Amino acid sequence: MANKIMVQHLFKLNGLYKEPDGKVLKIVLSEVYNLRCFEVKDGNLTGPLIKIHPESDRAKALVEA
Amino acid sequence: MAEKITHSICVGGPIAIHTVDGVIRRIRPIIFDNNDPKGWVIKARSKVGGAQDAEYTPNRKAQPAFIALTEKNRAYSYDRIRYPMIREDFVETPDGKNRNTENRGKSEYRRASWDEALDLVAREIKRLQATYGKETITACTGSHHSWGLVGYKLSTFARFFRMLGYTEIKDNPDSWEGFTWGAPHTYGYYWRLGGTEAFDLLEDALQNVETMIMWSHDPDTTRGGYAGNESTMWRHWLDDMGVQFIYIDPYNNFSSVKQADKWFGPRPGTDAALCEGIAHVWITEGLYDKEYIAKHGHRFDEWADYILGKGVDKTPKDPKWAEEETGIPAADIKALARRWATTKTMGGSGLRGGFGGVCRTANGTEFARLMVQLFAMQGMGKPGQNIWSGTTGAPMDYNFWFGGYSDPLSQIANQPIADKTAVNPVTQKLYRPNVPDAILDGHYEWYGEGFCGGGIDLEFTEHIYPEPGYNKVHMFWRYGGTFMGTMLDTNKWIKMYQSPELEFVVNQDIHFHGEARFADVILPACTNLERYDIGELCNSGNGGYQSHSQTGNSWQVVVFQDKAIEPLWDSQSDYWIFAQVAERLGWGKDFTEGRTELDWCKRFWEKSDLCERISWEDFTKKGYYVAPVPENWERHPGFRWFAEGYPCDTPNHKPFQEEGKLGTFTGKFEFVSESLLYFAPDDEARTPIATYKPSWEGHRSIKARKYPFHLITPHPRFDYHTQHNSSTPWIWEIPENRKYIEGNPYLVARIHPEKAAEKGIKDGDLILLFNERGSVLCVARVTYRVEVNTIHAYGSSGIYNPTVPGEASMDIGGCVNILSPGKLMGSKVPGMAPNSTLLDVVKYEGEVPKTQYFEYKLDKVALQADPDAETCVEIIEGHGFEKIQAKVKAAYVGKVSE
Amino acid sequence: MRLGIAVDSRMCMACYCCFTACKDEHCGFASKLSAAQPMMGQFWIDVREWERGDNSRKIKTATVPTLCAHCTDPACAKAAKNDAVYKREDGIVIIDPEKSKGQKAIADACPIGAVYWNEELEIPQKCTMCAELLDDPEYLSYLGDAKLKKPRCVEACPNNALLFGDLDDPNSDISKYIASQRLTQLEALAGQETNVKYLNVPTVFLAGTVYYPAEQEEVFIGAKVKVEVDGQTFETETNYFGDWEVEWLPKNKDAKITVTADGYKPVSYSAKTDADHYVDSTYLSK
Repeated sequence: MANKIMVQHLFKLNGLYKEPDGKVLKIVLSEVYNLRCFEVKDGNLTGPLIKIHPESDRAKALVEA
Repeated sequence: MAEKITHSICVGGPIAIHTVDGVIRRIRPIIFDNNDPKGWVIKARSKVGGAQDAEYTPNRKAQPAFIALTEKNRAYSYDRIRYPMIREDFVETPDGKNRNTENRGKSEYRRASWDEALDLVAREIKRLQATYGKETITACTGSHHSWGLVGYKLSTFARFFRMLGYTEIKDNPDSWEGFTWGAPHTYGYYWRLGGTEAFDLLEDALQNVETMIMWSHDPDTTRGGYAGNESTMWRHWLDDMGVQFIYIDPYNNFSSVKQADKWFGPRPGTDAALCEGIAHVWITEGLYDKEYIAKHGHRFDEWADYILGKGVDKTPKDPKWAEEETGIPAADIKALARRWATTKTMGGSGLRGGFGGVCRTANGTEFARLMVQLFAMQGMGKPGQNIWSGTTGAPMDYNFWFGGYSDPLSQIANQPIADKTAVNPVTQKLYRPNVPDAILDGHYEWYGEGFCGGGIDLEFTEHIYPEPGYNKVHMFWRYGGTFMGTMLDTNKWIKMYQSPELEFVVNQDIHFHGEARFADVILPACTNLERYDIGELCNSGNGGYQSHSQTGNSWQVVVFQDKAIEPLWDSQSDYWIFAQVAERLGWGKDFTEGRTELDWCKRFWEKSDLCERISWEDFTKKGYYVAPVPENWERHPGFRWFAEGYPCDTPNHKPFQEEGKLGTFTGKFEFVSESLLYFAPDDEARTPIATYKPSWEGHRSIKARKYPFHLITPHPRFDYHTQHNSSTPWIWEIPENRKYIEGNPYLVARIHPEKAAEKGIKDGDLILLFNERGSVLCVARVTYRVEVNTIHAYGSSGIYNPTVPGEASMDIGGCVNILSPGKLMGSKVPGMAPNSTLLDVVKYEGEVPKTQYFEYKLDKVALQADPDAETCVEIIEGHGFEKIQAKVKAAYVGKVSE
Repeated sequence: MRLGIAVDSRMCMACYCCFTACKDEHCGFASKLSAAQPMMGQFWIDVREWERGDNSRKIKTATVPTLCAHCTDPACAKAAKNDAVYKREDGIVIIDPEKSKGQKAIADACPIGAVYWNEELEIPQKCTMCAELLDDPEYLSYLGDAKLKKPRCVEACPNNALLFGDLDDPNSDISKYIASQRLTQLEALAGQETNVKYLNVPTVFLAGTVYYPAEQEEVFIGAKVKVEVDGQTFETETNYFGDWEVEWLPKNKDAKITVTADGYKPVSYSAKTDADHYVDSTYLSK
């Protein structure tokens, strides 16, 4: 019954995470079941809303910045 | 004849707009076509006790409230501000003094050009900022001006004023008061302002519930907030399957009188006593979930002792005691308690369970805490047992994200929508309910952040005005709506406006509402049918305090609020107005970032999941997008995780909930509140154990000897946030709303036949509602539907019509909040308590004023601009509306053929 | 084909969507079949609400959206001269806005007050069942499905209280619904065949509560209540609140009510069904 993939459990809301290619992402939403981020460049949120499934390879590669 | 179909949303819900030759022809609900997705299907019982073999699915249309269908009238309304206006006796003195401020509210207006008005505003801003500092300007909005993420108060207005720098006015959580300040101390949920989580509870209810407790709740009136009539069929389904509806409300309200199996009308302000009486029955008869309480209750026994009469007052809160306070027979209280405890019961207060007029009373916090405690005692979170008031919890695709107005991610004031986030450098604040006190007294202090979603501690922050190091406020920019009918003791707003402390007053609004008439400069804004915007039905913000309010809809609908017509007369969009002022102040480009309103709309599409679901071309062409609910959608019933002991899996929760904890200090339901003991052990309004206390303005106060009636002014049925009712004369023809006499629509005030007979009042008579704060002339509805000591009149009147303009005089517009106390709930509880008002009534036999008082001011300016202009009376009663449309059409057709 | 509307009073919550949609369509706008409705004063669909009950312990309201019934044999047509009123093949009754000029008798003739007199234009006016929209092939063509065209009131109703369709088709939603509900023709139209079917309009109720002897302060669950009126007998029991209620009583009759509970003296009442009454809070005695 319970959904074990609770984003807040795994990723900090408003936290900054680094991708292997150097991109820095800010977690902006964690009330829903997918991680949602924006890329951060020079302290600014840019680009489209990025959706990352918390169990995906991309998510697994995120490192707290 | 070119017909164009566009769409929009207002506080009443989404609409389809037919425009022909540049004029709006008709407003209809959005009917979904065969390309729109299928609706959800819930399998549940066809009758209580039966098998789960029936299917429930919503009608294939978005269902707005009737007020949404008057949007055409709001656009072509008699009370539109057509031109910029400047107060005739305003003088732009170099020192800000001697400006005839004592005439504000009385003065006439003259037409000004946009340049004249905007230049004046810019000059005054510069002068005031140079003289006193940025903090000297304050501004505020109404609760809801117009729907749409671009135009919303937290978006465009916020962007402008934060960039300008100003003293922010914090809103009090007016709809939530008792729940915001009280309930978190019992069970957390401060991030929902004391309201609980209703996820997937519609299905739960359809499958399991047997009894609904609708406490201070009129769902067919308050309509799930902004959900229009989306949920009306849900309650019919429950009713038809045999679920018992019990309504508790001093007024046998419009939902109650059609659907209640039982109505209880407690004396206003005594609901907490009813809670205690119910608790007494449960405790003495063992009718509560002892195992659940043993596991999840904190210091329950100490509270139980108090209920049983083992507390300091040695008074058992038994049904007999409760009868004396509430007026409800003890036998009935026992029956209610037993029905609640022995059946699967859901319910709650007000439109989403944590609202209701009951929580806007002197001791509303205590009611809220006790109500939560009662639901806890029955095993809250188990199937069919929950706080759920019948207006939320529909299936929704939680994996589709589109922002709501309270999401910082969905405001043009912030990244990512804007390139640069607007930040207000001024930390000084004011607090909305008592802004007049602050301005007039030059000093004000209060606790809390108003909306304290960020933490329980935020209720206890300390504020003082003026803040050390800051100057006082000398300019007020009032935007959208009027407080005369919604705030407290509102005659004091007159005094405030007339004070020379306010050197300059700007009002920016669509309609010439109550407060507009006190301004020095009036800037005409257009409706959202006259500009571009984008928004979602009933989405107030997912990260905000009303997470997933869209579960109050049967459908999730994002609407491209296309511009249906050009701004009428000289009106302009709010965004244009602010951009013009910003330009004159030297930061126009920073404000707009080079974007048009349409550009901003596209940003919202881009920075959300919407762009993945539909292209911009398709979205703007079709005009709306319905987000389908997946066929086997994931269920995460609200509070079920807590009852069954698994990590919380509902959206918008806090990490500690994954450990089975509530947002209280102990993680449990606190029957003795540790957070109150920690933060405010000496709080006289919120005692560590929630207890019923007679209202400080109630039947046990001295004042009751002189003013023996209670006034309740609930959220209105025929209006919303002061919009609609004021602009559409059709609504005045509804007998339960108003009666149109000699040019004025008198508000209905309800009185019990027994009291009416004592006072010689008959149905339809004019009656005067009065106390020491003021008087309001209404039309009497003599009805058995009110508790005998209660006068019921809807709040939020957008029509303010004082018989002596500019003076605290009898109001014939229906602003009953004039009579409400300015006192906040408690010395540490900064909530408003308009439903703790005492008054008297008398049959009115004086002169009936003829006509509306502000009409002549608008007419004068309109006729100045155009001798052939339609006057207010012509539009209301005659052919003014047709004349306006004909003129606009002629201009449109002329332009098109050029 | 006979177009009709079903009005279900039970489902109606007096939300005023129908009322407003009608005004939105017709106020200030003339059509091929009607002159503009004036901005105030006419209610082509009038949400008639009235309170039922004489005691706060039991109050209900009746809510009946009332529109022209599009009678088979309209009284307004009988009062009209000059073919000013005609019934179309689809059953919709129309008042010609030109031919009816000066004929106040047409407005006065309507037994349910659904025809209004326009002082300024000197014509009688009423609901057209939005025939001008139904006739127009362009109207709502953007939805791509002609079946979605309905009179404005029906389209706006969120409570499934108004239905529209072909009364001659027994398989239409409207026909099936009418067959499943209580047909309650408006009193003033008694005996008339109409295209608007009024359903579930209440008659009269009698209600009460039964308690144990007063000093016990307890409701009596399961007391038997018998209501005899006009040769019929209605039997019920008090519920978990000690309440009893009998609806759908024949109007304007004398009723005898008997309350019996094991171990207690029976109690009798007389009441009239002239109006809805809360008979009494009965306190039993041994």
